[in-house]
Amino acid sequence: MSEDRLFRYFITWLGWAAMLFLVFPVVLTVVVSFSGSQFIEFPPKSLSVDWYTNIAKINKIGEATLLSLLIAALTGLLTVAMAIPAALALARYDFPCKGAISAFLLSPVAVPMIAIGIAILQFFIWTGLPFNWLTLLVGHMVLVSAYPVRTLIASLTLSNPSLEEAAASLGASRWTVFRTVTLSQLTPGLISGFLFAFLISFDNYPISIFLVRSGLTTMPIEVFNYISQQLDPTPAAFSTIYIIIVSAIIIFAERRFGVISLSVKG
Amino acid sequence: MARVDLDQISFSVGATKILQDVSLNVTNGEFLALLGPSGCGKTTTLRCIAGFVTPTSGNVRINGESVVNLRPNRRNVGLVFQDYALFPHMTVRQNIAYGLERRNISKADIDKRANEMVSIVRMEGYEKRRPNELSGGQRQRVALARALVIKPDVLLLDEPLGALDRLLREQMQIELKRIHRELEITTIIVTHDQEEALSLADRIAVMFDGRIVEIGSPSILYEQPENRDVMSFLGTSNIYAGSVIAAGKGEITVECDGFSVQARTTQVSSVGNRTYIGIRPEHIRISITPINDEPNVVHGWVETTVYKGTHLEIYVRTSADVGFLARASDASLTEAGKAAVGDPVYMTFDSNHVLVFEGEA
Repeated sequence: MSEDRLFRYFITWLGWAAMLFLVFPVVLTVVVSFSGSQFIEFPPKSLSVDWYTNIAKINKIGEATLLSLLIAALTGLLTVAMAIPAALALARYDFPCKGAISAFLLSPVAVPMIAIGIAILQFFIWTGLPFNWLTLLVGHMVLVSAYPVRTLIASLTLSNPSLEEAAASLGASRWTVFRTVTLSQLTPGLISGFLFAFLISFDNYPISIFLVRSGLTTMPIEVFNYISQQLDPTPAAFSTIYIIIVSAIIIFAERRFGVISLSVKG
Repeated sequence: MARVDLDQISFSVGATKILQDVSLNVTNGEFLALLGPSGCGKTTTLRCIAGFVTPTSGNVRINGESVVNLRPNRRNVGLVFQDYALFPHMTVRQNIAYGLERRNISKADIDKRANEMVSIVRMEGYEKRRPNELSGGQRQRVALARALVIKPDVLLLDEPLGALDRLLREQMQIELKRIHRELEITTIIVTHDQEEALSLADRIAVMFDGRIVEIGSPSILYEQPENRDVMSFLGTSNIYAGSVIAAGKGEITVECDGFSVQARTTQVSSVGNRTYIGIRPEHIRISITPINDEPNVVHGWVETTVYKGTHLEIYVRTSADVGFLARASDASLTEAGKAAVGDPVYMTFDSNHVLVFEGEA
């Protein structure tokens, strides 16, 4: 066997091992959710769907999920809207301190979430603003803002700038060019940016835990509370539903807009 | 329809001079080619006219009026990109109507003009397709239709046929000529393909290093270029350095490396001047028997022959190790066809066909 083939063998197996490593917790969760046992055990000795009916017993789960959905949707929409001009500037124009500004915008990814959480908490205490769903929203926006910027820059880099020039030479003003040509080129970046923002916000725990006050609570917090008090597979059942819905959305987005390839290339 | 004038435009990025004093006058309905190697500034010149590049100095006028301060969308210029730049999310029909919808035109007129243009570029039946469902040639037609439908003052083509294969390219050249004739629109094409420039344009402007070095009709530029670089860029040529050893009335004799040639020239020359001479391969006749009664005879040996279908190329090397390229257009009938590799041959050419580039040596 040549060295080259050996290397390829090694890489192939490494790839499969990595896939297994990533997928195993998901498979484990799904399997455990159908377990008949009171405790989390793998592989399960008996099967049941009881834990799915038990989901409602998680404290405030409906209310918390609704708030998480609302915060996630708003976080996604607002960060994407804010990321469009930032990405356009970074991808299409040259200006002083461009590198520094770009690094700054992408930095929340590199800072530990706990650190961001503490920082945001201290900021809001310092400002004296009341803690409510708005502070939670702002906290989440800070956390996820880097993702839409990144996916939109990727979209812009992949799109053909002569499309915009063609539109301009045909008589379109800057705004019309943006509306009729640029925006459609940005679609994959908008969708994947929104998805990243939405999903990261939706199941965020470390930031939310600092910012929830006075009855406000989110889905991950309640699920985590449940786990810390009970050891039964109810959260696994909840997670399984969550995994199915998210997978369906991602598969649809990939088929329709090719969003995964975009985030990989970018 | 309009005339386009470039008045000494220059363009620099930092210390790099991309365009230097480019002046050009394109008349009403003319088809002009900007020809040059890649990086010579021809595309930048085109982009100055379209409005995507603002010259550092100089003026761009369309119909006599300066447009340097107008944004591209105010210039009424039709532009066809090398990669076509068709809007991928729109149908053929929507692509073509795009420019019309940006103007104050009634729905009925948009329909009428778009349909008319679809038929001019012969794309009937494809209106509902998207660009990714079209072949290269069809995309080209749509790009052309989209640029033409707005009735631009001037049509700008940036290497429009570069991405097409040879056969399609030749078909599209004929199409372009037909459309240009039908619409009588002032057209500027940028190309690095000399054959394309020769077959399409009324006039060619040859650019090197950000300057226009020569402008003229295809036949003048090909047959009587004033610039040595123009000669070597347009088609194949034999160019040699030499010095004038005899200067008579309208005729000079130039001594090159191991051979001398007589050339007719209108330039005043004196003995001792350094000069370059150029001979087109098709003007060299090959004989396998010695020739004595002609002024220009160069002896050599056949190095290689290359059969090209329509003609035969014969590479000859002299005893002074100078290479010549000769081209015989009817290989089976001329003597050249009989010459085998290694055979001694005699090359002759008219002094009329020897071009002299003096003062460039």
